[in-house]
Amino acid sequence: MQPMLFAGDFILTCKWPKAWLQIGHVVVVNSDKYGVIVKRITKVCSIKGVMLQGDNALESVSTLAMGWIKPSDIIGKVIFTSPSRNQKLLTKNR
Amino acid sequence: MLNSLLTTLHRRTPLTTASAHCDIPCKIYDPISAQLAALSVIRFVDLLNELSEKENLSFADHAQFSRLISEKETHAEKVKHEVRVIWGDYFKAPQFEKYPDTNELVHNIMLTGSACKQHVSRDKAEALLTLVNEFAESFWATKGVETKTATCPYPPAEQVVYPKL
Repeated sequence: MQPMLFAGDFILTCKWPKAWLQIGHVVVVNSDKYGVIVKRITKVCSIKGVMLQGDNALESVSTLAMGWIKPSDIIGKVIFTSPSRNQKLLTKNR
Repeated sequence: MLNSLLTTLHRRTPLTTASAHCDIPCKIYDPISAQLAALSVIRFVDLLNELSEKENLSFADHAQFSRLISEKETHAEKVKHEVRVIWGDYFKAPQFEKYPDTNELVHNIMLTGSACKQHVSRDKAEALLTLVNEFAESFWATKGVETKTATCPYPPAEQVVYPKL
């Protein structure tokens, strides 16, 4: 999820009503296939759920491979992030 | 400051960890496994055809026949698995934009792989290798690696796409 999130960052999530989910929101989901993951919403469908994508497209698993995510699998929306030392060091050296 | 506090808290009471990569990002992808499996399918079909030319099959021939059928199906399935992993884990938006026919090609590989399991047909096995070679060519092109086509130096001596490294 670089450049928004780096390994070791802390994030705070909040339960978010299904109807309020929007494209661009970063959410934490519990995927059967991939476990607990953090991704950005790219599509919202009232029936199928949401489609996700990582910000770091070259590293992240593809949207097609993840498929539609049910709203019930969404743990929460990311509402706060606390950058780790990794992020501070990496962004400083750019 | 806040991060140090959170790190201390996390050490004492571990918080839930969310992954961003979803998979171990080892980045080791190579279509050669799929190509070798496709070559194996052709080889098993050839050996099965040799057996079919015999007038009488001995007990050992029957055992060999069962083994060849089983291995043919295993390797056809392996082709499908290896291609699916590269398609699902390596191909992302930039690669799909560059090679928009990839989804159709992968679907054809799945169908032809299944046809190779259902039949003892050299034509179908050759078609599978051709498609997998095409997939390998696209894969190496996405990495900016040139390819060459050469006859593999072992049976079934078919044309294989190799990277020029």
